[in-house]
Amino acid sequence: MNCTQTQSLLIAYLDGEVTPSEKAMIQAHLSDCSVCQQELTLLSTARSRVRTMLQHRTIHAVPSPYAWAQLEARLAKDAHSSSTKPWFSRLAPGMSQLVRQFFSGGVTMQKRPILAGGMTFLAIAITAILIFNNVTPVSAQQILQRAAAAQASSEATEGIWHTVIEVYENPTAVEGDQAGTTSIMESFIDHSSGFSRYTTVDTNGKLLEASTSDDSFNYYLLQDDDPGIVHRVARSEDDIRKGAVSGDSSDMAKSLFEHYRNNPRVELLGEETRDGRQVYVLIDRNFQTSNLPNGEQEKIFTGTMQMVFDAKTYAWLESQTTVFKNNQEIVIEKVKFLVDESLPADTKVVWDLSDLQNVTFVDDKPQEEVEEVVFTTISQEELAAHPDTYVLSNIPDGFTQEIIESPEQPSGEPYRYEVHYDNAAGASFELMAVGYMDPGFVEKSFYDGSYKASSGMILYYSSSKPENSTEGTSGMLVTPDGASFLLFSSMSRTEVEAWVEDLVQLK
Amino acid sequence: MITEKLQLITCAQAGDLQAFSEIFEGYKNLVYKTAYLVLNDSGEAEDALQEVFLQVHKSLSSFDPQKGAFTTWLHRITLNHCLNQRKKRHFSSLEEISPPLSTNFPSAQLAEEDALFQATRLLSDKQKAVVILRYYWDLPYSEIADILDIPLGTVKSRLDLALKTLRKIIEEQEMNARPVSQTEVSK
Repeated sequence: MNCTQTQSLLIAYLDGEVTPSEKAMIQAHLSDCSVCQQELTLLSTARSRVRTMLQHRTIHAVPSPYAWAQLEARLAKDAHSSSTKPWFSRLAPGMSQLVRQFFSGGVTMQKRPILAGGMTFLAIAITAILIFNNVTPVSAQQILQRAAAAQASSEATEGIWHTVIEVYENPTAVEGDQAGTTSIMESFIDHSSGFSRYTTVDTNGKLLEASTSDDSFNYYLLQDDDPGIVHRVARSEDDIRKGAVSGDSSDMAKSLFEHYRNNPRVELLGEETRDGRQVYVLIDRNFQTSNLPNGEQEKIFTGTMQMVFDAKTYAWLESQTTVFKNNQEIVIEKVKFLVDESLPADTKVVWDLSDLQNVTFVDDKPQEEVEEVVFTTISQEELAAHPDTYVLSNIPDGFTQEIIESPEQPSGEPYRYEVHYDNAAGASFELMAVGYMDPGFVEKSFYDGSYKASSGMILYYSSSKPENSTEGTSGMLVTPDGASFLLFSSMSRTEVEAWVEDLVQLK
Repeated sequence: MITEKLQLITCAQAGDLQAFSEIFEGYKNLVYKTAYLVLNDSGEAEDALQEVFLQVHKSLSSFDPQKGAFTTWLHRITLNHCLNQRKKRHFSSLEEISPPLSTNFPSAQLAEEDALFQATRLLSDKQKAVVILRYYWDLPYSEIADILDIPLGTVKSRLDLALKTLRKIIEEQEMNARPVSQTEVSK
């Protein structure tokens, strides 16, 4: 055996993976060849260093304690979705609805504000009535899974679903216990007929909004926009087919709950008694990371979201979102269920709003379901004519940049556009300018941690993935001036953060 | 012990979720650690853990203990998933080496290990897979060949190439770390 032959077998020799005859020949050669002896020593050192390095590298690499709960939830979801029709729509369509709403001026099919409608549905969607007898949950994820299962089963509940919810909102995070506004939302839903009725009043009982549907019409009243006018619109075939709980905002609300349910960082804060009921309190603590000049990463606490579930029925009783500002935790939203019940199917509910006093009914033409939006491609120079516009300072190799102007340009708002970076392999990074957003809305809706770039921009993550994808990153990017951009990318968060660092303001 | 595992697998194949949870507990580290070493990111390793066990749950009925060990099958699913994930990464220039999770080892040793780990980026994904199966999981060449569905000779040649690449890096490290001798100073 010569040196070349011997050296090609040295690794296998060290690993004890040569045949007895090969072993004898290698040993005979080594006894007489200092070059191969030295090579053997070097390879042996490399081999043991690789072993040690691999062991050390994984010594603290352990799966999350919630790994099984997460998997169990996904298995249950798969099993459920294969046996019944899915309750929740996919996450991404919710996000795309949001985009569409922003680009079409925030008008929803039912002309209800996104948040109010969203909250109404959210409240309805979560009032579940399935009792899991004497099962003690061991993790937040299991509680969420059971709450979701309860929620899913409620669709089949007979009768009329009735809820009354108290909602406190303080979207600009003003300090003080009573800085926000409180409203009471009441809803009735009859799944068998597809009829629904939602009303919102202030704390003095004054009607703020109403939205109902019967077998022929949708009705809505927005006191702020159009005082005393009930708009009546003939229901389309599609509306009737979709049933009582339909509309863009409900999809978004479903998405929000789904995000929370899929968030592995949600922890069980404890079990306690509230209003005479045994409840579980879950918490998601939110952090913002940023890179310091010395290369270290800073992580600061930015707020929490708490959810309270009944320990027996797993009905969602309360939720509360806070932001941490000026060393204080400020509540920006609190939702509490005052009534949550299933009424007999023959309960009299006024579905056509004829019980309202001092209102006038106006018949409207049916709205277009989704306005077709036409986009125009523009150059970077054209974009640079507008303030608060951003692009990457360098287009990465293999990527193309496309800038698209939105046809809707609301006055007093930053210029609306999208910028897309794509490569042939299907990788993408997209920003969509959506104007100034309430900080509270952003923190409440994109609630999965955040990253502060050296430019001062903050990227608030969503746990939702971009449309038609199980991977990637999405979130809301907010500039120091408050201009906001929806961000979608096929890349990981680390990669997206590097790209965000490279964004420059054109003007 | 083997019979116990087989019983668990049989129960899980019949739809027993409790049995499947015990399989998960028993093998989650195998999947997670391999994923962590291949993907070099704890978040991606978590995702891989979920995806691999979803795949295992889905195809458990097709697992035949007569044809090979459960761990061989699991290693195969894990590596297939992780290597596919790597293929989907189109941004190798942006791919960062994450620092090792905190340890109590001396910093000089850590620096060397970090450099060595960075050097593993020079290996192809196929070579890396063989290195992990051999030097992390201590699997015999024959089992590695089974897992990756390659001939025994290919296992040998991939390990040979991988170790020789890494050996060169270590050699360079040692050259750089060598103290300057008095003779060299006087020159």
